[in-house]
Amino acid sequence: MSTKRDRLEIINDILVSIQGKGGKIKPTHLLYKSNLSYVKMKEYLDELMKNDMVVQEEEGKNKFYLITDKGHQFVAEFRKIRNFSESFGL
Amino acid sequence: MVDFLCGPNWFYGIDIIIEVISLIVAGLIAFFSYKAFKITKERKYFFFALAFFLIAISFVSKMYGLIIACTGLAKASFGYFTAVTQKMTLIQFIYSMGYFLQRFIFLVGLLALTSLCLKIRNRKTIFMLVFFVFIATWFSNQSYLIFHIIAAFLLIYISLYFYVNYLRKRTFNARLVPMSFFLLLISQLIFIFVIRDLNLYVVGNIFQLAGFVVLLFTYILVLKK
Repeated sequence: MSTKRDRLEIINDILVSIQGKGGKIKPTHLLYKSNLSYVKMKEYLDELMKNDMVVQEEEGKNKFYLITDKGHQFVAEFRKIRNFSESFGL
Repeated sequence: MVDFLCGPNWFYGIDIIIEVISLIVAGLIAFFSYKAFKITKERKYFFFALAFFLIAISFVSKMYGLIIACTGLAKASFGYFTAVTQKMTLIQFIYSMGYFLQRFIFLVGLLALTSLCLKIRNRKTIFMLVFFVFIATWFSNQSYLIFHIIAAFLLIYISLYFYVNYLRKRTFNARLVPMSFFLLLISQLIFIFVIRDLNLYVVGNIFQLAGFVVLLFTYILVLKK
């Protein structure tokens, strides 16, 4: 059984999902990929936009979320922390 | 309290380089763990950083002790041992304090790691253990032996914890960590017998260096992945 994801893991999953789509993702795709309710996903995206990790872009009627350099940096750091944690059993 | 042991003369300087390498590795791990704490706000990273920070600091104290005790200055004071002056007593006091701090801080660092591994959260229990370590390193007239025996004992727990973690994770990095602490454990066991043969000081230092090099390699792999 998988354990409950914590806040940082969810943030990381959202950012990795955007990275996986070439750095730009539609909200519907993100909703599917992040495995969150719409309300929760909106909450996390607002936090990510507030922290300049994600920016919103509109192309005609379509809305997209783009990962920023800071977002890429977070993913890289989080990966290192996870490796560190795994290696030392923390 | 003063029972300071330097290695063979030819090894003086090399041992300080080994301490510097150990200090850098412990410092790097402490820094990364603190960074992880700042990002995640998880206390386990803070305590891990604290443990390695204390270990790093202990190497500074050890270098200080080695420089004072093994240089010409201290040897001169030993040479005139029969005519003990106030100045000589002061030199002895300075380096014995440096060496006491090294032992105490190193053991508290290991104790912090052991507490993390054994999941000891109770502050009173941790304080009690720190108190026992203080008593053992300050008041014992065989503080050199006591220090290495306690360090080896704590390293057994730490190595076992990391080995169990490796069995769970089965990753290359997770395999390197118990290996490094096992090497440090061997170094402490060897240091116990330095009193019988001074050359073992060199062997102990080589094992310590190997332990920290493996730890450094693990750290580089963590950052590279």
